[in-house]
Amino acid sequence: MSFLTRSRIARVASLLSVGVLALVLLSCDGVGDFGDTNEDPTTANDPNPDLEFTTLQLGVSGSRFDMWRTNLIYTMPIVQHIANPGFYAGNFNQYVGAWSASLFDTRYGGGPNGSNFLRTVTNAENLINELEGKPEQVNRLAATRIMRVLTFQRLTDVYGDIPYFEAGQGALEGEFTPHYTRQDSIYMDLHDELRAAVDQFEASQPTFGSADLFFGGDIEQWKRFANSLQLRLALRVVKVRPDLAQSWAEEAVNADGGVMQSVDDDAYVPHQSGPSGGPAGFNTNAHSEVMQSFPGQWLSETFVDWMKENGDPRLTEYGALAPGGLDSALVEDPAQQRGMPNGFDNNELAASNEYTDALDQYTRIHPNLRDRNDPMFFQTYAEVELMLAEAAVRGWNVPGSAEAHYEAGVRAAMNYITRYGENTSVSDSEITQYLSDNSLPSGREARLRAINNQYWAATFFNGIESWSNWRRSGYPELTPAPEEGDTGGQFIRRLDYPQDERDLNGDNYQEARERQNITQSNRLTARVWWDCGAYADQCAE
Amino acid sequence: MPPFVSSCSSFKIVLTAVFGALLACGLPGGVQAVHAQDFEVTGTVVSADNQSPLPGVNIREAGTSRGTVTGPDGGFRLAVDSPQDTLTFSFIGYQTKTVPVDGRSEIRVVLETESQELEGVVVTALGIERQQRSVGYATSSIEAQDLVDVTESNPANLLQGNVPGLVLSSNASGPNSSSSINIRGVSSIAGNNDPLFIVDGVPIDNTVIGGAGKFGGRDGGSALSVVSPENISDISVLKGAGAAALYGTRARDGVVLITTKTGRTSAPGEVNVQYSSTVTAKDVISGFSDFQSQYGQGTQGRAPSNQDAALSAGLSSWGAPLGEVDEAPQFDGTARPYDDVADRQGFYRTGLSQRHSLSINAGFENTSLRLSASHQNTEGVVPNSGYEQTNINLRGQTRLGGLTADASVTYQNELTDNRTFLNDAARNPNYLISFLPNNIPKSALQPGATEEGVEKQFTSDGLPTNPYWAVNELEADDDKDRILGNVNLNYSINDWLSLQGQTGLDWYSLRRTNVDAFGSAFEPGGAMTEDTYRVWESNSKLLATATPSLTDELSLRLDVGGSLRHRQFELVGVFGRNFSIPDLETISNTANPTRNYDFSEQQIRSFFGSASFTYRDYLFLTLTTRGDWSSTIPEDNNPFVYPSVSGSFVFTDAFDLPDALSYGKVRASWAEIGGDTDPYRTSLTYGIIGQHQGQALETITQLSVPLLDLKPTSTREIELGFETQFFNDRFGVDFTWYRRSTVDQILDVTVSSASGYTARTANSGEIRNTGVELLLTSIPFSTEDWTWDSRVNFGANRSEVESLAPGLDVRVGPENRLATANIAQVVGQPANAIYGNTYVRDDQGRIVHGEDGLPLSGEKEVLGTGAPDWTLGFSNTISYQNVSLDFLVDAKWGGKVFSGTNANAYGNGLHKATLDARAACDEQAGSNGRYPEDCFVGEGVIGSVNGEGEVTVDRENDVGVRPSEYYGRISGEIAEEFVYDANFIKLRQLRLSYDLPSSVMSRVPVRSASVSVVGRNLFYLYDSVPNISPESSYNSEATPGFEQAGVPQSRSIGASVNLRF
Repeated sequence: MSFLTRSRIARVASLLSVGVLALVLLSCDGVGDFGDTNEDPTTANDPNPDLEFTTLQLGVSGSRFDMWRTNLIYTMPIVQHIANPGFYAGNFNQYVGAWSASLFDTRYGGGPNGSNFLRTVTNAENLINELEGKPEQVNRLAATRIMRVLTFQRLTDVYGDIPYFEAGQGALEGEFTPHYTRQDSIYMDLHDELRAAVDQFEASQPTFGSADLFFGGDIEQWKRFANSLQLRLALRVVKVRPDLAQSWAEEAVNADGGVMQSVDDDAYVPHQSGPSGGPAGFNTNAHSEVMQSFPGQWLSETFVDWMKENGDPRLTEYGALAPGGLDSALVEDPAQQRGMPNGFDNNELAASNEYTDALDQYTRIHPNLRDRNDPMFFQTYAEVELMLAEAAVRGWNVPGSAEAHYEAGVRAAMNYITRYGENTSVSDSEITQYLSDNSLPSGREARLRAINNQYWAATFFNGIESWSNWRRSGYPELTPAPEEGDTGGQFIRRLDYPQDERDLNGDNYQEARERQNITQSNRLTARVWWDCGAYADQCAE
Repeated sequence: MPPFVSSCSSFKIVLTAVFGALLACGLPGGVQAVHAQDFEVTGTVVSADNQSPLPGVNIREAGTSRGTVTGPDGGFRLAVDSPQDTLTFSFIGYQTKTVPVDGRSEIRVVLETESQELEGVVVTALGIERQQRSVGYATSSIEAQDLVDVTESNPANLLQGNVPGLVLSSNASGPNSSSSINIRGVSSIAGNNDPLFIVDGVPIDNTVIGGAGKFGGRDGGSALSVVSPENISDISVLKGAGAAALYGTRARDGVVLITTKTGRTSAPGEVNVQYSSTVTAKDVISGFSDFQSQYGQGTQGRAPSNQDAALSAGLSSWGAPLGEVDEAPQFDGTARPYDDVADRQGFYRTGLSQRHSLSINAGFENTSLRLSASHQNTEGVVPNSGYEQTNINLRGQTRLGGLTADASVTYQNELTDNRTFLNDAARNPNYLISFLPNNIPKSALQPGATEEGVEKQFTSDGLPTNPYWAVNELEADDDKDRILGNVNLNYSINDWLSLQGQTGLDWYSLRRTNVDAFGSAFEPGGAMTEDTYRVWESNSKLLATATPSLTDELSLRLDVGGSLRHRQFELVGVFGRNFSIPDLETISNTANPTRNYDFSEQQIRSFFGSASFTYRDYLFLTLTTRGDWSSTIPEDNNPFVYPSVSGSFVFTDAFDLPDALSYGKVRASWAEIGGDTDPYRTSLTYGIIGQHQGQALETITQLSVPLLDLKPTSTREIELGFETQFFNDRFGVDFTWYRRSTVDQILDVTVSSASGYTARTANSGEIRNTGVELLLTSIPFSTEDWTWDSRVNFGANRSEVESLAPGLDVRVGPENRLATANIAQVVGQPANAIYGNTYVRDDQGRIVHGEDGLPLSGEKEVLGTGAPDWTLGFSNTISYQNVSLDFLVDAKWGGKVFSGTNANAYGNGLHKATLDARAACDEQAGSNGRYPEDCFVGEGVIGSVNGEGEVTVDRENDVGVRPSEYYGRISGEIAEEFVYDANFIKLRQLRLSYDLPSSVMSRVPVRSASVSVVGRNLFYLYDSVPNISPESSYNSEATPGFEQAGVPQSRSIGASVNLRF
């Protein structure tokens, strides 16, 4: 081995030893220590519950993406508040998967475009997790639990069984395939949550204060809102659990704090006209975003005719003819108003003898109701009074007469709309006139009809609530849009889950569909539990 | 500047210590015992080119520090230890030569220029030049001559068809659009699959900022344009993990090494000036070929009866047969003849482009300088789109004893005008013009604005933007300034040990302005965005190289070093809507603008080492190792260390073989490369997302649940190959087989949104790619006047998703605009599969319809992948004396594309496929021309499908529907119909060039001149997709295989002049 001379060995050895030394030095702790390099300097590591709560409330109000699809495309045409001769699927009994699923998509996961502020379920679960077990946080915790009830009730009313107990726990519990909870179990728990929340408030502890967009941290208002939500739960289950409906309603009105007392107790998100960053309808009213950019919303013939028949002063507040476009002079003469029939597309309007395809001859949603800073309502005092009127008609033990509640409800429903701006208002004399022309009739069924027709008119723009109350009460008595669509011409009675759930949460999804007898053909017509769905024990329809 | 400074300085100290130690170790070899210098050698050094003397040549006595340089006459005189010593002659631009004195007192040395040295030499990882024969993995190189006088502002496009196995796809956007480059298939499910680009030893940032997605967007532009084609000396592509292992993480998908020109001249003291100019015209070649031209705008077989009906019909071409009515009212209330007048292709213009470049080379004895400048001005084929580029580069090299310094700096400015929006209808000028009904003259849409200055709207649905409004009133401009700097010091301590230190900086600032003008239908008040991106990346490395001599037969080369990478990204942006003064497009004129800030940072610290053994110059073995600490990986999982081994055997030198086989080599390599991830993926954080009613809004930032214990990914590759040359190198074969698989993928796994998140970060899954690469070279004939060079390169790759996460068989990625298909990873299927809704078919393959007579939409299935099975390039150069003709034909085969253009053409009734149904309905139309509701019965059966996918057939389809409903259903719900084979054979390039003969040159003050005519992307010899180009894509990186309403393919024809003074 002549090449292994001493000097060569020495050179190679020294080089290798340096290499080894280098490795040793490099693998010391210092080299692997990057300090806080991998901590995003644009985000916080610790949450601030106040700021998260405002986000949660704003999220409930939604964005253009989900409110366009859920309300303007589906619930409002279904319940015949509005009509659209173009593509609004709810107007034509049609199933469009991505539109049908948008509320589910956004409220749990942020939706296909990933808007983290829309994840109201997740944001509520996360916030509750932060606040739980801290005595000084009881008021914040209680308010958050009530917000969670609000968001879950809207979801289950739209879809039926939904992921509930295990939902929104991806980061907290590593739960990625949450079970779908039966709607009856959800309703029991929503009730229990409201009760627990009301009991939890302590006047001596801090509140969300100005971070609370609904009530500015007013504990009494929160209690009234919670009890009013319970009243809503109660009436919702009246067909399938009349016993429970009565006891929940009586419990709510007699509970600590009682129910809403005036329009000051209305639960709504105030919006502002800007700034314009983020998803459309982030700071702004989501419905207005759509109506500003895509003005294709007409009042339904059903709605217009009902208001005309009753001499309703809201007709020209909710709608107007805009022959020269919505920014030009409007025609507000009630007699000239004409609603658009549901279920007619442009061609069918053109082909019809009864209707015209000249779209400017139909009453549009009034431009005063499409300002970007218009509020979004979730429950109003008007609704509460009308529910109390119904409770009285049903002979439940609530204070006050049906007539008094009915009148207070109608009056409130005409008053609260001034929150759309001072140009949207009904005078006291008009209200008085209206009430004298449309007093509560006699007879149980006639009374229920009158009350729930008013509930329908009072929940314009709250499509989910209006549609839900129609499904459970049967009022107003609507005729399905004359279009086969995907329902065989039947009313849409639920929206369907995202199809992604079939791939991503398949077992639970299948279980929920089977439990509710949902198939591809009845996915829009299957009834949710409180609407006499598959596993309802009884049905008083 | 966060902790980088402090923690890094300790690292630097370490490195300094290491290299200090290395130096100290190296010196004993250098400072040897001083002997009497008792022998004198004299001589001259001349250039091999013209035998002229070379002054300034460095001469060293091997194993000592003694040396001298040649004088002005090329002569030298040096005292050496003994007549048996060896002298080393080195000079910039020339090949270093070692000459044994052999007892001679006078020596004449001839130095070959370096370009001749390049033959048989490849540049490998870390810029190490190695003999081709010693390399145990596949490399490809492209010579500079193939790059000049071809106008592609994105130099990556020049690789198309030139490298076996390299798959390039560019976006259907305007000038300098980005492209994705894929070598050996997709290795990462969620991350970037582009190779690493290295310019003169320093990585450059190739991140594409932004791109079109489901709801549209604009292409982000290529970052590679910073390298001027005129400055490129050569490009080599290191394809495998074995080749790239020393570069680490980012080189997992290969490395493209770009070497730029130096200022060396053929003789010292000379100054060369080179000027070239290229003028190119570009025009649209493909599109709309299978659209029908029999029917016009309308619905149910009738033309619109009034303006409202026309507005509401919009892009619907379900009207009456053209000519059936004389005229019909249109969107603007004007009635125009109901004839075929659309002329969609006429919307596009011929885009002219000019490029001028000037370079000055100055070579001195030990120093050379090169200054180059270029300017390019390009018009896109979309009106009002354009691109302007200015590039200045200065490079200098100098040698001082054993120290070589090489530094370069590049400044570039790029201005992009109106980058075209793609895919979705809003802002995208291609959309409306693509689907314009036949009877609408495009001139009716001009100039895009009404007299009131708002968008002249074509449809009552405001989304599809009037194309003239889009190009005249909307803005999407980029202004990018970039500086690339690089300093490289190399010190030879002695004849077997050298040190290299290099640092490079890539810094750019990108200013991006988007304006939606006041009066845009989709944004009536107008809106604008002003974003400034700043990207900063530095890379530094230290490398010690030792070549200790072992024996005459066995030699060793050792490389040991460390490197640092630091990248910062910052975005400062502002967005506002609703201009107060309609035509004043500035942020302060918007109501309540919002601001946007983003920042990210990452660092990698690495060590690496390589040992290469050579036995008798025919057997080679290389071992490498590298370890990375990445700031994006939790501390406990750092560092990750990965090795490689490769070897080659030149059997023609080892054995006595027939003469016909002039060269033969087999090679093999095995390598592993670790991979990190993006910053900030290991914890849940809370972000401020704005304010409402004076209250700040905060929520969880992540839509994907982070993984706290993130591990690096690992790519393992085995590669086998051979290279052979026959008949004195007239015919050559280079073949490679590889298998690579990437495990522990860091990917966001889509989860049920009910979990509260759209995804979770997982550390699992495996993708495997297997493929072959083949290069055939031949010189079919070669005479004094004629030569013909021919190359065929071929690459085939098959990818397979072996696994994803436990319990997960499908990972759904980006969705197409119609929401009928996704790009998905499906276990057992190729990576990046097009996963879309299919028809429901019965066991005889008949299409199953519902009771409504419309086709049912079935389960999502894998319908193919955007990646081709194989690619082929066939290039030829035929020269006769001073004239040379070359052409390149390239082909891609086996990939698929989902065509949104064709899907929309179905829905809009613009596709030829809708004609038969309408002919049937025309016959049944009522007196008013209106189709009955049941005039068309689709072929197939009526039946149903249950939850298990079982099909029950009831009867032959007997339910009539309107064709618009039928084709609307297919368009909106069946992806299968619109997935086409994206096969093509294309004449990619044709070039004719002529070098002016020296007899002409002697009369003018020009040393040499050449002129050429070049055509790029000339035409398809074969193409399997109707209406669109099979290469079309709106985001080749994120959604390969999806197309919709892009800029049609264009061809370019140019002429260029190249002068040397």
